[in-house]
Amino acid sequence: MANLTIKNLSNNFGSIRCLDKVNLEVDDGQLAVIVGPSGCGKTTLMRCIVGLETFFEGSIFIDDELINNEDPKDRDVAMVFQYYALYPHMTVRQNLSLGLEHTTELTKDEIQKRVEEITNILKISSLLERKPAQLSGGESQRVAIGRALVRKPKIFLLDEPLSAIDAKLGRELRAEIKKIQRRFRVTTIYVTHDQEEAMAVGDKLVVLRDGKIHQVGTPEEVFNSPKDQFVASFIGKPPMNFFELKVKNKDDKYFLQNRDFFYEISKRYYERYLSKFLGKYLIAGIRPSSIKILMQNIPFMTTKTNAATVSLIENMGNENYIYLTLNSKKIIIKTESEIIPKIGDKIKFSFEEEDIHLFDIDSKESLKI
Amino acid sequence: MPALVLNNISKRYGDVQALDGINLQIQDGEFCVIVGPSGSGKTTLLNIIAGFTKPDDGEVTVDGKPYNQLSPRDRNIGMVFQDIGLFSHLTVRKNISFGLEIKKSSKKDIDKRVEEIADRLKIRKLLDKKVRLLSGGEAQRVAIGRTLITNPSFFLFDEPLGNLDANLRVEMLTEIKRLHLHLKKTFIYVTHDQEQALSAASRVMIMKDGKALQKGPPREIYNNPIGKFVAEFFGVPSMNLIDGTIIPEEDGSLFQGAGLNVKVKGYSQSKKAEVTLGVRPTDVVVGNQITEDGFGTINSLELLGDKNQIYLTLEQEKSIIAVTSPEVRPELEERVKIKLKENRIFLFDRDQGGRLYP
Amino acid sequence: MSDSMMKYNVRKGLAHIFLYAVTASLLFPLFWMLMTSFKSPNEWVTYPPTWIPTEPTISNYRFIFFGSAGRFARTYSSAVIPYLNTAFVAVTSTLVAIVIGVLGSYSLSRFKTGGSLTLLSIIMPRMFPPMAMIIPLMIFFQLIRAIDTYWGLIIVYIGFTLPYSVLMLKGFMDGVPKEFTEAAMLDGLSEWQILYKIWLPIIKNGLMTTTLFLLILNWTEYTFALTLSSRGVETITLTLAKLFSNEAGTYYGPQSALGILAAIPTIIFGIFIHKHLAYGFTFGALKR
Repeated sequence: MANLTIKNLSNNFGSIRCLDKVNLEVDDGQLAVIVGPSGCGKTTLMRCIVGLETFFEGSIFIDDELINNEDPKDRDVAMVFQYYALYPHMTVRQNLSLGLEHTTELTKDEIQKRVEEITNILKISSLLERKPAQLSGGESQRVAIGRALVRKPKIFLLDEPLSAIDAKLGRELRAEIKKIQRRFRVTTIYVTHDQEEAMAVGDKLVVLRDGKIHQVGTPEEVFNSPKDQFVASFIGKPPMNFFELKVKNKDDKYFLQNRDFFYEISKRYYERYLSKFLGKYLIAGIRPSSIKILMQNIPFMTTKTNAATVSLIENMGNENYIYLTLNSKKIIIKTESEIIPKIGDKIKFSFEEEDIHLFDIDSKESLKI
Repeated sequence: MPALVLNNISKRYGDVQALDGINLQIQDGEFCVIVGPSGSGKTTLLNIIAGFTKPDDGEVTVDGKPYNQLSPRDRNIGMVFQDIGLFSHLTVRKNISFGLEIKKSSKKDIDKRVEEIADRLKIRKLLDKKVRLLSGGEAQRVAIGRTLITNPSFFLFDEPLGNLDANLRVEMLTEIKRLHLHLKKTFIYVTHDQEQALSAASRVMIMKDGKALQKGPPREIYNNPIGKFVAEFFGVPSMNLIDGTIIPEEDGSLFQGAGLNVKVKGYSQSKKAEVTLGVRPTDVVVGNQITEDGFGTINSLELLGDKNQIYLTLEQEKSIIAVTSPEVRPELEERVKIKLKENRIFLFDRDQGGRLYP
Repeated sequence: MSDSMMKYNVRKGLAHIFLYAVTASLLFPLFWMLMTSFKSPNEWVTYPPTWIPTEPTISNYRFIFFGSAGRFARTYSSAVIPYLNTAFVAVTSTLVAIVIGVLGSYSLSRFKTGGSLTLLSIIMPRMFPPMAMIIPLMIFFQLIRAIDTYWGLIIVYIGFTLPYSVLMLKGFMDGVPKEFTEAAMLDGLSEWQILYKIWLPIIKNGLMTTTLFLLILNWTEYTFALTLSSRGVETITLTLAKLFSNEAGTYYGPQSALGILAAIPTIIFGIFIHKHLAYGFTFGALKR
């Protein structure tokens, strides 16, 4: 049981700065997910915590104890590797007990007791005498988790634990991992590139790109109030639609518009967020799920609708992704599965002004926070 | 006229019946996805279509002509493999022209053809770039362009997205679909991933143990699965399946299982029977202001932004999943009411797996 | 049957005939050696040659074991001592070369020691024809009084096979995913423990394959044995050469018998580890 503090961590990989002044706190028992596109530094960050990678500057504390110079085995951290790295020549039992034999003073009997305790909880007791090659993907994962947790580490790390498993099974296993984590109440760092997985398992999301932390927050905070355009585009599936729009004023009406897009906003909204930007461009982001297709029979609302051509439809079972082209601009809408326009149809769509995310055109930072 | 007809294809490997009387007609210009778990025979079937494997029985015909005796290179098929398989040190132009250069066409003809294809795929600007500098989507186009040069009558895709990251996979699939719309050629696409099948196909064939279980447009299969296997296999997250008993009532029947009491109005039967009830996660309503079918305890909660995925435990340790709007926010360990949407319930035979209702 | 099927079958048949012919020609010398080892002296070089011994005899084998037998004019010393010499020298040098090779290749593979030319410089000594090195070696060996000694021959054999040992083992070790090592580090294993508890079991197949390869090289070595130890430590290859050219002509029968006997230990070892050979160059059971 421990909390983890990272202060000003920087690291170079050759001449590339792969971590840039990373500051992070993870509370006792929390599950923090580090998420970002490949090459963002998330794996390096994890390896710095474990001690498999040396870093250039900064400090890492576990329970206020500086561990910068500790050997990996003395840090009281345990890790589940991406492809599990179960020792192929040892049985599950040997895989689980090896670490205890080398890092603790426990007797053989005590070690076996610990191993059996954890395999009971993880429901892998029946696999104890098997070799890794005889395990399914899901079983391997449990064993790998068992091997890490049997040592009762202060910090538990998982590196892309679902990447070796097919998508559908992965969805079941992520719920499983979360349950196990909650049961053991161990401080956990979980690394993934998959934003949906991150949202699903994390108590706390750490969005990383190019070695920099863009946002830290609960999944809801990150989804509903992204701090900048990158976070907005990275979190959420399909990705958010963005438009470069100019803030205009005519008589007592206010608009967001560009060559092929025209949207009226209320005065209240204008005064709250946009008064400083009159006559200037900004970036508006709208989630595919916030856009509604207007049916023919709904009264025509000129100021808030735009006609676009359906270019592609993807059926995702209980929902559809509809790809629209508005002149050359591509727009994605997520709808219920009952709404099925035809390819080539002209349709009108709209959205609530409260659902618009606003970003500065230069700094890309949110204007709504 | 169907472009490709598979007539009663069978294949045995030793004791294993890899394919058992497969019939399939693929229309010209269709995007047909063959999907099934590993070991279902879909790869064997693909190899038979491509000519790498000979069937023990049955016939492949294309445009009415028998195909069985033709070697793969005479079948006029464009094949895109799992790892794309481009020559990364060559330019896009060289990669695309490769197929013609082997056939020793004249330089002028080749250039003309390559540029034609590049225009069609909108990769003309990339022609003199090295393949290793391309993005994933561009590489996919080039891989298709390369097969296009010999003017194949149809395309076979063998798990083309198997090696990719989840995010990229979705993007690339969209790309392939755009290409299909654009090229208007017949695509046959083999995958184990039902999600790809669901979103890409104009028609799907679901295979299991060498048999074709169900064929049809994905939406139809999603809404009307013929049995338990298809129902569970197709759709994300999987359909909830709950074992229980069906009891005859005056106006229909009552399902009892895992603590649920669900009225099934349209289904009448004379006596009690053991069945499995199926309901999609999106058709499970969770809340307190409803007339409930039963209760469940929240054991895990995934807040995905525009929807919530709720894991519930019913009686007898039965776990089910509900997908709700983001406003539904129960607490962990909370006991909540559950209602299954009427008319969205399926009943399956417990042992045989066949659909009983609707 | 259709025309194309007919053609296909004919082509397949011809290919098979060709392959059988090649196989037969490769196996022929072995067959001949085996048959000769059971022939009596007057049948060794009769014309026309006999395929199967007309009067099968084990006298050739007795000659090898006891040095003289029945109808042989001269007595020779028994080949048992050279046999044991070979076994001792070959096994010892193989084991030492493997142990040093394991340590060296672990360093190269795990810590990326050495520069870009390391591999080349390791294999470089093997690029010179052994014959060219014999004279300097002889002079050197005389200086350190290593001629005609077991340890002298063993040292040469180790030096002779070590490059192969390091190169082959490094190849296998490079295939060990780094996650295993990292997992072991987290599990608190020391560097030695990582080597013998994790790496060696994982590359067991490669280790066996390399051992067999070195053993064969050492078991059948001739040039160094001839020049550095022909009197003191006679090996099987030297005995075979003696049987080939002596005052009484060539002893084809005993030569064949010794040839057969000489191959037996390596064949037995090969059979013993063949399961590992099958996976030799792949990591069959490794899950990635």
